[in-house]
Formats: sequence, structure tokens, C-alpha cells
Amino acid sequence: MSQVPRNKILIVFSSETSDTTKKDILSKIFVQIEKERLNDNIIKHIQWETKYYRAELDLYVDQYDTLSEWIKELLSEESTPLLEVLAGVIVIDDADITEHKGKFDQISTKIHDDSFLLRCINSEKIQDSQDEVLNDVLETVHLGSLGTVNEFGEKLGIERIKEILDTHAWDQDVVELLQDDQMKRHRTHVEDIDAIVKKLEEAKLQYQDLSATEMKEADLYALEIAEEIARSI
Amino acid sequence: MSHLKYMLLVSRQGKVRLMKWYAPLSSKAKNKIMSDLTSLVLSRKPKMCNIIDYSDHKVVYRRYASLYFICGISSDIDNELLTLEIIHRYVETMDTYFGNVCELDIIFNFSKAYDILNEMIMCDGSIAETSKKDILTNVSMMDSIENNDNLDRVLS
Repeated sequence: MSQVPRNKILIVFSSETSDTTKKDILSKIFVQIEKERLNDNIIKHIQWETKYYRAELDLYVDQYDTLSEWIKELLSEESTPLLEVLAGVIVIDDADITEHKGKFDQISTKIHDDSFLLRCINSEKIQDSQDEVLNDVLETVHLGSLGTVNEFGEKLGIERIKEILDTHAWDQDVVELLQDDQMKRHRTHVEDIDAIVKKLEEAKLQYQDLSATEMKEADLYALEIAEEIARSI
Repeated sequence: MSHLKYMLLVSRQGKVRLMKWYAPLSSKAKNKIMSDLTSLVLSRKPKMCNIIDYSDHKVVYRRYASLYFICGISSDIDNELLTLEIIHRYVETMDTYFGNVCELDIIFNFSKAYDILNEMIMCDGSIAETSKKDILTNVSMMDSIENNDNLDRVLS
């Protein structure tokens, strides 16, 4: 049983993809990666943040000459430890990969149930017919889609990849819930509330003393305290 | 009158995000329904009909962004269009509660998603409340009770 967290994303490009396109795609998905790290094949400690959590993930960037060879290598015995720690695989290739459907099916059974398998197309010319064939094995994302949302409100292109990463069930070890931070803020708030409650108690005693002698003065004092507390809240 | 058999919320990636069963079914039957419908609904093209025959009943589904809302209904009792309206009302209510609800909101606040559904549909699958305002008032009331409990715990 592997102790390495399942937080690695394998992103693989076809050999036809230029370095510029590669960097462009990577920088659009992982905006937090510094420019100089975009050339690396392994980019570690990427902070992925949503409104609910922050996760640390590693990116493995690969390139292949022939898809069938790469798949064969990935399905080999030596790659099993890698497959076990993969949170997802993203294949970026404009070529028709429908003939490899069966092999992709094998990859999807070898990676963890929660891990995702995506195919991205950079060209706008590719028809949706390929998507339908591959649909039950992997999701196809069209990077060159016009707009970020379709008629069903579904995110497209880079935004869809980000959404998949956002909703992925990351390993507990690499996730930090932002609610914990909010709890810390809440605790500071509680300290403020304590101070307000103390102030109210003191004011109550002061008001009781005043109201016994001068009613108008006591009311003014109560109003002043109320405004002060409202300001502090 | 509507008597849902179940409601499932499935993501585009085939992950079941929420499930509510209104008819007594064995775990095996539930698993079969989930796995069958996930592949069946996800493989359908966008322009295809939202009502399909499945096993001994009908399935009505509607897609909102990356989520599919799937309901099992009895062919002889339920109205398909009313079921689509129920789904839409549920989404609208969640949208108001969360403010443009997304899959992530449901993952991290699944208990609220269930609370809203429970306010809308009774345990036998019939509609309990159609007013969005009343549902949200009740859920807000639950929230304030919960917050008061938390505050009491803090102040005690």
C-alpha cells in the first residue's frame, strides 16, 4: 500500500504540440505556476485553491511520439506505482484517438476510482463525433471553445478543466479546509464578543445607578453605549 | 400528485453527488440503478428527450451545468412535466440559497442540499412544499437555530 498521496496529475502532450502551446495551456490551467517552472517535467507543490479548500498537487508533464507506445508504457508493470498515485490523467492530442478507446478503458480501470481521465483537443476543427465514441470512457474538453459556458451553463475549455480539478476528491493529506481558517477568524470574533458582553454588563450596572438619580442622563448614557457597540460590531 | 421513487444528482464525471430514495429498494437494486442511469444519462446527446423508459418505470432527467438531476417516477401515477418542474424548482431554490449554486457548493454543503430537498419532498416522494419562499424561510430558520446553538456553546 502506497503512502504517497494521490495528488499527482499526469498531463501528456503529443509530439506535435509546440513548446509555446504547451506552456500556454499549462499557464492557463495552473495560473499559479511561475514562468520559469513551466519548462520542467515535474512541477511540485502547486497550490490549488477554491473557496472551500486549498490543496497541494504535483504536476507531471510528459510528451509522446506515438500514443500507442505511451499507453503501452503506462499500462506496463513498472508504471503501476505511478498509476496508484495519480489523481488524474490529461491527454492533449488533436489526432483521432477513437481506435485507442479500449486502451483508455484499461487506464481508467487501473487508476483510482476517484481519479479522472480527460482528453483535450486544441484544434477547433475536430468534430464532436469522436467525443460520442469516447464518451463512456473519458471526457473530451475542447480547449478552443468559444466562450466559457455553453447553452446548458456547462463550463467549457480551460474553465471545465479547472472545474474538474476543483471538484476532485483530493487526498485528505494534501487538503487544507479553508473553514479552519475561518474558524480562526471566528475565534478572534468570539474574543470581540466577550469584550462586548463585558462592556454590556458594566453598562447595565452603570445605567441602574444613573436611572435611580437622573432618568434623562441614564437614557443618554444607554444611547451612547448602544452606538459604541454598534460601531464595534 | 407526484410520487418520486428516487432522486439522484450525478456529475458530468459520473460521480453521484446526492441520492434520495423514496421507495424501499435493496442496496443491490440501488447500486444497479445508480450505475445504469449514470452511464445511460451521461451518454445521451443534449438534444435528446429528457424522459426515458428504464426497467419498470420512467426516468426524468435534466441537466444543469455539469450536474444531472435524475428522478425515477411511476409511469401510471406521475406526470413527467411536473417532475421536470420539481427538478427546476429544487435547482432554483438551491440557486437562491447558495447564490448561483455550483457542484462545489453541493459537495461541501451536501447537508443543506438534503435539507432543501427534504423541505420540498416528503419521505414518500410526494411534494410537501412548492413555495420557494417558504422552503428558504424554513432552511434559514434551521440555520439560525444551528447558529444559536453554536453561539450558546461559545458563550457558555
